[in-house]
Amino acid sequence: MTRERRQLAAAAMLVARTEVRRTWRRLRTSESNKLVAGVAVGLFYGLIGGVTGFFLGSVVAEDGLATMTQPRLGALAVLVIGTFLVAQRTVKRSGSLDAPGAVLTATSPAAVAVGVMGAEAVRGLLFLGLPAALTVLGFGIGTGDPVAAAVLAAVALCVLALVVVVGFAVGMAFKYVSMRSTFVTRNRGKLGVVGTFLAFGGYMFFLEGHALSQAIVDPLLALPPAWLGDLALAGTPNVSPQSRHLLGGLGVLGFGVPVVAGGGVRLARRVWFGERVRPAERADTTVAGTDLLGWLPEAHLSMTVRAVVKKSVLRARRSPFIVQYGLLPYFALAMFGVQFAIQDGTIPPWLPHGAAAAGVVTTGTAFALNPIGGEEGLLPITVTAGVDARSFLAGLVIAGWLVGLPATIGGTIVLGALLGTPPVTILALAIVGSGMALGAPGIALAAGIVFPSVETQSIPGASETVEPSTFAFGLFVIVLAIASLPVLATWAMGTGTIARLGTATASVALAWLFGWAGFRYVERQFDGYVPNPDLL
Amino acid sequence: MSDAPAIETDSLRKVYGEAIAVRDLDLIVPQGAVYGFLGPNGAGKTSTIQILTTLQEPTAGTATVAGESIGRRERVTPHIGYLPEEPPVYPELTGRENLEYVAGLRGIEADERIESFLGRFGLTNGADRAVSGYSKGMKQKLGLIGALLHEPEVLFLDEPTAGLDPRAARAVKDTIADVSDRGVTVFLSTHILPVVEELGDRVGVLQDGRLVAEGPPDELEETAGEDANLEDVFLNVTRSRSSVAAPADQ
Repeated sequence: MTRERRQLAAAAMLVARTEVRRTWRRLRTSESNKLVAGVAVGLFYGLIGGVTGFFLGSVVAEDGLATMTQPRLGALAVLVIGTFLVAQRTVKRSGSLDAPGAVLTATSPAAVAVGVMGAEAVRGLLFLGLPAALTVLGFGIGTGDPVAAAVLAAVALCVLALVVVVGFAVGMAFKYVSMRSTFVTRNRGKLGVVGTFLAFGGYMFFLEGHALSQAIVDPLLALPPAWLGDLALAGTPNVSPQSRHLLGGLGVLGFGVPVVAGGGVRLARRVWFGERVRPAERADTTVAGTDLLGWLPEAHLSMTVRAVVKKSVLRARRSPFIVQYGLLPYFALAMFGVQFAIQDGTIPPWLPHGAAAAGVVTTGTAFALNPIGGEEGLLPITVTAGVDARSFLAGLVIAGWLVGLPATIGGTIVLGALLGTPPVTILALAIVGSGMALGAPGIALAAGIVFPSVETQSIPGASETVEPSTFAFGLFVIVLAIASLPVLATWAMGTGTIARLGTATASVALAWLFGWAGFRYVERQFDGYVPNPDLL
Repeated sequence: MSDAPAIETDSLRKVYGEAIAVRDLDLIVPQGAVYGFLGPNGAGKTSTIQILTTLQEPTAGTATVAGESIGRRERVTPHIGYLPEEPPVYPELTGRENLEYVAGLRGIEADERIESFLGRFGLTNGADRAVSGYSKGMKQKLGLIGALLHEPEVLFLDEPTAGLDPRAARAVKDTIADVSDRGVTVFLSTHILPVVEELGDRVGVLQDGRLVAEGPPDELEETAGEDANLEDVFLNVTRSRSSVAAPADQ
């Protein structure tokens, strides 16, 4: 290795080490809630993975495998999902440097790019290491052969490297195209939301195993990337992959990682040093969407509340990423509906129920899921403006109601009418849905205080925004699910009208109770809130 | 480095879409000079600096820095130090860790130099605290140390004293004078004209991407009239352009 190459490798190692150190410090200090939740989730999935790995290992070691289709499907799924996740992170976060002026004038961009990829791989291990290790351990115990576990672990590590370099290259390619395209630059927010949802839809489609998806997947199973599944089981008793498949899998790793990493480095150079299009500023000063404000009873709402509502609606229109968790339930509803229709050949009769549920989630999450972090650069002004917590939080709640309640009631009635749902059922769904929706924003506010999100995500085309935390969304869904338990239980058991009425009332009451408690909790937190110095 | 100018540009041009940030810029900065680079907001100063530090490619034209063409980044970057307007520091790391990181990227052993700089800038006591707790002035000093650690031949400073208290600004100015005395060329972009008046050997005023005035500060002040200072020069050369441009803006 020449001196220059050694220096390059050392710089790449240093970048990776420093990036990981920064992530770890953030997790230990300002994001310690995420660390605790992450360990809990990791243990949960680790236990599931360990048990699953044990049973799979036992079955495979005992009976062998008739075909290699399942391991190959698994390998493809890991590659596709992993690549998507890394690419998404590259686009939104890791592909943009925090101190480009210092870093890029101090060392080679190639070293920086390799370091960033290395850091992503370590972060992947940090977040997935525990469940993955327990799964491999379970698999090893199940097969009774430590070699099986060792081979699986080694291949998993190599696949992680492959997924990281491919995801980084794909993400950088997307960033490059975005910064060179006027259309993408202008519509980046909307395209990002649509793209994310389409990816999710594609995932659901392939998961379904429909004939069309099989027609696409089957040829892929005959290609070397799928043979990584063969390679992963190469040490497992009773499994004998063909040597050409093993060589193919090794080839994908041996050639794929360095070649794709090289491509990623070249793309990174183009992104970090390239010119981005700067379309002339649009005279987009319309307040379309705020006509909803006309519905607000002016006499009963303070100017502060109206200002918060208006700001929330305007920002959501111009940067849909902020309200992605408000759009997600409708997308999920559409995807599950399509999936059911493909599978069953009929329009799902539960769509009105789904619309009511989606409306509740949207009402809660659209504007209330990140009450403090969502203020972004305006936080110092908000805190020092003398705004009382109740008015500020009420503005976020009312913004949610303003959008979510019509969506809940309207969606339920329209879909119910189209599908011929009995009017009584439609009415009941609309009442229960809108009742629970009233409490949902309070729950979301509390979830957003427990898991605030302050980290800026960069959207290709130079826009930056703060999205609510996934953990906050998760906590919101858990609490809402607890409130929904009574009504879900009677729905599942098909009990009588009185029981249904009672449990529906109980669910609405629980949602109100949780929402009220959440609102009060956040109100107290907000009144005594002292911003983290990093946010000022 | 030979006797070639520290910085030389030839018809340098930078275009963003329909906007021209830098228009056919011809510039010569002698070795060891402190060059004050002035101009109103949006004049193209930062674009010029980013081109000269290889962070952006010019649309047209050529330039050399420390005798090396800016087209060959790996040849230019060892010779330059750069402090952007926003100090390039990681808030999660301590001051010392930030500097060790920059030294490591450049492949230099700089422990003693780091200690010396920390002492000179009064940062020794805070060196092992996370930078998230630093004041703007402390971050700026840290960024400046990072730009100086490898003893560059040409130092690019973009608004190095903006937002600093008088004591911190004094420390930065002393450092500029000190490195200049040791033969380092300083390319200094700032809105704070007394800084350039005090330290600058030559001054260039950029307006709409064009160099509209250039020379030693005292010569420019003489041309602007009796008792004129650099502020008068700046207002004169930029006002005449603004007054021409104003009707078109309306």
